[in-house]
Amino acid sequence: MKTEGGKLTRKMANRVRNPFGRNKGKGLTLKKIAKYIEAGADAIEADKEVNEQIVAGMKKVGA
Amino acid sequence: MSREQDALGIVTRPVGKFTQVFGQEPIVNLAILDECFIKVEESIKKGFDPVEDANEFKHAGVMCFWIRKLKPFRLEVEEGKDPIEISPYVNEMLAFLVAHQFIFGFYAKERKSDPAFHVPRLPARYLADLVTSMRYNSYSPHSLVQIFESLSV
Repeated sequence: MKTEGGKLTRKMANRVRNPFGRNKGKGLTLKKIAKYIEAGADAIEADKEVNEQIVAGMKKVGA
Repeated sequence: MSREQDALGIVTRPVGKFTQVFGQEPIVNLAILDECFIKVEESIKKGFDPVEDANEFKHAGVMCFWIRKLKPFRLEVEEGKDPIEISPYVNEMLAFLVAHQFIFGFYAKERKSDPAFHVPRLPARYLADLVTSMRYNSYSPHSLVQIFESLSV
């Protein structure tokens, strides 16, 4: 993937050092979200009908 | 793994899908992308106590909102070529794809056996209208949550 831009300033990075505070370890982390998205992308590609609708819809945008 | 790699991990497959369909790979600004997920985490933390009360649709709607709002993606126009027609919609499209792939993955891994949830499918025209509308109209995080929740009904 092509990327640009540098890291966030330390001030902003510090704000999320412990994003869920007292709920640490619970809820969804970025890593867990990424795993679900990977599973979702695989599942969509395996479902011919859904995949075709998504691709067709993407091509229709702005038409 | 760093936060940047975690954030990139979230958008890799949606970007891949966009590239596959349009033959052009979006460029992602890492700082803006990280900012998107800072705002997502703040929104979830602010809206739900405990945070595990936020279901997958809440996360999907909030992620879609912040990616659409902060616009971390852009397309590079090759010299001498016209911008492809889709270029104005790249952020809205990717915001939708991130959210949809997330709820689809959650359905596939956690909800398949629950009769209250259905495959989050949608017609092509619905996707096209939603993405186009997201560019020109106002959507709150909660309205996007409801839109994604309704896909599983």
